[in-house]
Amino acid sequence: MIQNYMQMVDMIFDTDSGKTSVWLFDLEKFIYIRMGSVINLPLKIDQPLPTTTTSYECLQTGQKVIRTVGAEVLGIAYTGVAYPIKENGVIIGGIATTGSTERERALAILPSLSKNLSESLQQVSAAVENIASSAQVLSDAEIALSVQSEEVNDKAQQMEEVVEYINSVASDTKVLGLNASIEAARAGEVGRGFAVVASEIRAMAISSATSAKDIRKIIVGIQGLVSKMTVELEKSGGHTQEVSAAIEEIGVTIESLTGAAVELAALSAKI
Amino acid sequence: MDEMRQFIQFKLGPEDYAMEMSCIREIIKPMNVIQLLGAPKFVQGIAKVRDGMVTIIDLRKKFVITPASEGEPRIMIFESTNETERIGMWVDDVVEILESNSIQPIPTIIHHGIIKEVIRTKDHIIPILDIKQLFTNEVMTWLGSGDTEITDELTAVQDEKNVRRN
Repeated sequence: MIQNYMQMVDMIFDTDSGKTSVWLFDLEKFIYIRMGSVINLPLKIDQPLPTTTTSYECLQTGQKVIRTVGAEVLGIAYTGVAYPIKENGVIIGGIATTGSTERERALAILPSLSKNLSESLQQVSAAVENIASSAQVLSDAEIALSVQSEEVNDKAQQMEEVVEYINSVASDTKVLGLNASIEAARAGEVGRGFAVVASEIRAMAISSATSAKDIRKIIVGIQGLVSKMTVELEKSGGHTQEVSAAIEEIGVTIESLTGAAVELAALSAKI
Repeated sequence: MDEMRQFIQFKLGPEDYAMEMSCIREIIKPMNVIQLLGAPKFVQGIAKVRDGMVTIIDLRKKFVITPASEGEPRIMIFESTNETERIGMWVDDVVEILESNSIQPIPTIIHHGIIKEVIRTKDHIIPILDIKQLFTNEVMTWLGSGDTEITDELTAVQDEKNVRRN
């Protein structure tokens, strides 16, 4: 009696925590089904065995049938196994299971996955190292810029001294021009020509003084810009340090991730 | 049209003044001034200019003028026939040489007539300091005195003039 094997169906079903579907059939139809949680085939009790099933095939061949079905059919890969049941050498039916092969597949790809993970982490680690060295270069450049802006400031200071000198020459020239004019006036009519020269000298002195004043304004502008630049540099220096600190943290995290990947690889080898 | 006259325009504090150019001998940069004990306040001291000596006066002290923060201070040395009596006046800046023929007399209410005329320029009126008047005995006495206010003497002068006008 094929019904005597129903208990076995339950046992197999429970062994796999109800994931695998277990089928009991006689020569024509399914007589007992425990539908697993993973594979859900549209087959019912008392339904004649479809010719495509492993069940049907094993009845035909009298041999066990193992067939693997890819994920393209049900969205999940599974393996169907069907055994004929014989009493006194006569086939009276059979028992079949359809179980997910996901775990096997997962186990098969786990080593390569963990290897990939390790490699990726190595790449990330290398990239982080690159960023760290870039941050160092950036920081060095900032320091160099800082020094250079200091130099620009010094140059501006020197320029100011030169302008100061030009200014004092202009001021002396103005006095000279004024005195020349006074002298020319004293000479009366004879001094007319000289008076023109004197007034030209004064005009020149005034325009030199004006130019010197303009240059000084420009220098003050330059100094203002340089001091702004210094402030910005200090700010960006702070950011660079933050970046460096963050990179260091990331480095530590990656190290622990790499450790985890190694453990994972070892674990997957044991399963 | 009046005759063109030449002036030197300068600053005492923030204000512009002018002085007849013929009154000025020379303009020099400020130099080391030696203070004189017992001299009136408006006498800054004496300074050595080339081979001679110049007495430097500072009218700002007498007229309570706040020294200007801008400009280049100068000393204007006055024309003098007596080499030992050379006098220079401290000014806050020498602006320019001014040629003008639009000179206008002003009412003589100014103390001792130190200012008698003004130059009218396009935008300003510039008082002309009368150097000869500045060094009359009368004014020198007043300059040396402690007051900064208009003196009774001046009031008396004004009264006298008013009387004459009437």
